[in-house]
Amino acid sequence: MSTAFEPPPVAPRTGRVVTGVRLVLGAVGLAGIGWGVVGVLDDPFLRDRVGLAKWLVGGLLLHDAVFAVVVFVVGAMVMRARPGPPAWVRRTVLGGLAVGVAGTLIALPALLRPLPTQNPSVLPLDYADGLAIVWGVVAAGTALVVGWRYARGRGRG
Amino acid sequence: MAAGGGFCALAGPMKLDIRLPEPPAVLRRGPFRAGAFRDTLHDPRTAVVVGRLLGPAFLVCFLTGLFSHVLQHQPHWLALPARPVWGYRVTQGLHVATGIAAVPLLLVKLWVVYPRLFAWPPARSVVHALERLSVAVLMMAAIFELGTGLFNVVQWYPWPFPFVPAHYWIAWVAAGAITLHVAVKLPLIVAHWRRPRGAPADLEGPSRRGLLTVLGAGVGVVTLATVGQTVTPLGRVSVLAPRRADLGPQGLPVNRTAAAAGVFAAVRDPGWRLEVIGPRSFALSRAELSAMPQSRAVLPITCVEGWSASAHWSGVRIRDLLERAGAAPGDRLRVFSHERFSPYSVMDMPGEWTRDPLTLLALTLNGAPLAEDHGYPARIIAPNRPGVLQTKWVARMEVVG
Repeated sequence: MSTAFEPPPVAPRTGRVVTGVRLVLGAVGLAGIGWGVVGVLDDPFLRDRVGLAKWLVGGLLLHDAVFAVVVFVVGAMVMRARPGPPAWVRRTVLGGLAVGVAGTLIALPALLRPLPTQNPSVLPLDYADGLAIVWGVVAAGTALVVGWRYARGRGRG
Repeated sequence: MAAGGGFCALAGPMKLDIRLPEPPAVLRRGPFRAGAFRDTLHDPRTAVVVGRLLGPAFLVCFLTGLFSHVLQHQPHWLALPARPVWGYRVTQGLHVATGIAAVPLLLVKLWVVYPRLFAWPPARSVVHALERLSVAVLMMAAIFELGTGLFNVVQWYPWPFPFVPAHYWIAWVAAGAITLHVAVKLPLIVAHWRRPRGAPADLEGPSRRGLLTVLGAGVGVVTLATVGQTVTPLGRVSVLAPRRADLGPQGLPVNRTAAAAGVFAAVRDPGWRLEVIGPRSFALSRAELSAMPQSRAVLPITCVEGWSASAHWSGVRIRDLLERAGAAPGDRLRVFSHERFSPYSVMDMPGEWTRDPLTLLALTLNGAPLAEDHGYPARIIAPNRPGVLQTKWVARMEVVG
């Protein structure tokens, strides 16, 4: 394992200008949050605020307790499994995987929405096919990057 | 990681903060252990590099969203231009495309800072706890905005609240929380804005450049896969787009069908008349409207859901109808649809649009009579306006001065 370059620690900046800008931005930010919260509490159409809160907290939990955990576990497993290709190949594959997952997340509402939609011009395409094409392009791109780096002898690690 | 960028740095000297006791070390297990996350990319510099892409993306979403909201709830004192005809097409296309691009941006940003979730001790002081809580608020609001937006573009609403006010008000929370986050982290942001002196551009091991390449590829893939719903030449490339500009009745997508709007009885009635209420009220059949001087316009339908498509329209100029009703040029108009129980069944049109020669009561689309799904017998088409204000199945128009 090569040693990563350790830059010298950078001290946070706390000059007078920075402090002034922070106070202004902090006040503006709190005002924005407050305006949004008051709006939620005041809006006559937002009656089910408990349902809204559940969706807000649910999104946070879905990321922190599910999605991120899976990402870190898969990452660790791919990097640590022995034997296997060099680390730079594994990292490139993980990068490709991340791009494919981004495409999949974008496609999920289209894939999971109950059909028919009563409106043939909403979701007119075959999104399973579309997602397969995206994964194919991502896989081909990943293979190209690995091959290109290999050919140039830039394989590291 | 140096956490000195918190408001503690401000509150500490001011003696406003209350220190919290450190929890017993025996609880420091699993991801809370020192060195639990080995990757060197969970550092402030990487967070700054990704954050300064994500921040502007959210700013673009917020501003274009606010603009769309103002267009749909236009206050009387605010005059907005009817030009350029493609104005709303660009701002709303940007709103949705930027929101989609923000998905990989947000996920990578969260990946970079995820180890901070397990900082030890979890809260050093009351202000530190509040600071961390503000990050939770930011995450909830940001994930909510991107998530509900993604559902909305496929017209799927699996939640117990109306989309528009929830997406609108939580956007304020998100924008405020991001601004607050920048304030909290500003000392770190300033310190890490430039690459550290002496650092090689391409590091050994996992490189920041590699991470940014992955991020760029992710943004590129999700954008190309969807943006064709408004950048129509890319229509066939965008295999995940919820709409395609040429797929729909008469080669144009529809947002609300005639069946969904429940207008069949009204629009199929042979006795249908357009009523125009003004100083000289009148009513005209479709044949009589067709006998009036016809104008043509090439205008896009632009939906808040981020798709847009240009089409050829013809019909009677709204300003000609207003003149016939004895209204002054630039009078406001209130348009009523046969559609009921919709927030868009009544539409107000300010003077900038009623006097515009491109604003039509359209009778044909792409050379054929309007399909029922496109608003037969007659619909509004105006430049630079959201699709929900292009009222279909027009029943009555009132001059409101």
